[in-house]
Amino acid sequence: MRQSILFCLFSVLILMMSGCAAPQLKKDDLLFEPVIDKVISDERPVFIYVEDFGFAKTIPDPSIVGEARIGMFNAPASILSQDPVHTIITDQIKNAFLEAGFKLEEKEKADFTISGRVERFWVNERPAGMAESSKASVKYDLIVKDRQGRFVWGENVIGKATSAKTLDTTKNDVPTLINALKNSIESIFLNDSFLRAVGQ
Amino acid sequence: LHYLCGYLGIVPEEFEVLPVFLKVENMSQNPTKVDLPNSFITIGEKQTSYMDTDSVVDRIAKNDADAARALGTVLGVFGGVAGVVGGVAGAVVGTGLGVVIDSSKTGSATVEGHYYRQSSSPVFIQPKNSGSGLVFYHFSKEDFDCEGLTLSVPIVDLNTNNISNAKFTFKPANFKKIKGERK
Repeated sequence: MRQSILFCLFSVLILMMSGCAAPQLKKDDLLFEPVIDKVISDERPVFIYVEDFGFAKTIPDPSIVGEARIGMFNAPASILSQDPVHTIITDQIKNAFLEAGFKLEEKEKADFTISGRVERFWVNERPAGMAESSKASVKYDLIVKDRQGRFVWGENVIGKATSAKTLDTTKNDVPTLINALKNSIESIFLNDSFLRAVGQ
Repeated sequence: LHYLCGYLGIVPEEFEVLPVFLKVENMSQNPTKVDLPNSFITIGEKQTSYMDTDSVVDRIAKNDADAARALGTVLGVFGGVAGVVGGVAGAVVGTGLGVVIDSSKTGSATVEGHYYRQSSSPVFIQPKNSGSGLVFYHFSKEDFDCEGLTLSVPIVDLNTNNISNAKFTFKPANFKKIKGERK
């Protein structure tokens, strides 16, 4: 009897310590559609080449995108991503430029070359009074150069998002990170200096 | 320095963060990028790396419940931080101290929001323009009594891709003076 009680207590303790698993950023999470107006007309196509983005020293591991607090004791757990952050940003930037009406082309034939480096792609959980919320930030350089390799436009693009307050915000971690990414991408095509630089 | 750090929750002994005010003027003919993630501080033979503003805020929020609350509260009084001013493709304009956060100019912003607004920007600088603001570095508590330190900031020429290194040396005497004044 005593052994059974101890076993039950031990099991409950393990459950409390582990709780649910840390969320993961999956490829399916990235199938969102940013709200981008078409800025390039079909009559005057603009051809671009998007180089693979790199990542800065501020990202020690590009496959870790945040820190969740899980279980009864709020144990920290890394949020992993199926794709590394620089691959995610490269793909999303390509999609966004296509959405805006640009056309992809080989580097030699392109009007502009787009390159960049990811500095931050991260979500974590912050206490908010009695509750908590997920807080995400995405930051990367975006550089546009012309066919001769001369700098045309550059910006340290930033996107931020915060979830609503809740008692357990872990489920909001990945959606909040996606929102931050979406905000960052949409901001590029709302930037007048960018539109002027690419001749629109 | 202690005064500012303490108010914002950056207690150097606990959080090991050094805020620096940096101003870079582009005196070259080409646009440049201030490569902050690759900048670093040399203390003797040791190097310490750059921290982005979000990481600084995270560190404060993570380690100190009071500071985490302060990040969401209305601003009070700020002090000064160590500052350096430099020119790209030209002589260093000067080094020294700069009071960069003035409580009379902060309005009703949150401490966290103020941090972001005071961060160094822009990092892409056109010829004859400048960028300035706060930059943060990892800094061990034992290094606060160091003999001297040098901040190295790579500057990228965006047309030629050439990289030059801007170096700024902090005067230990000035550094200690701030500590003393603000205690």
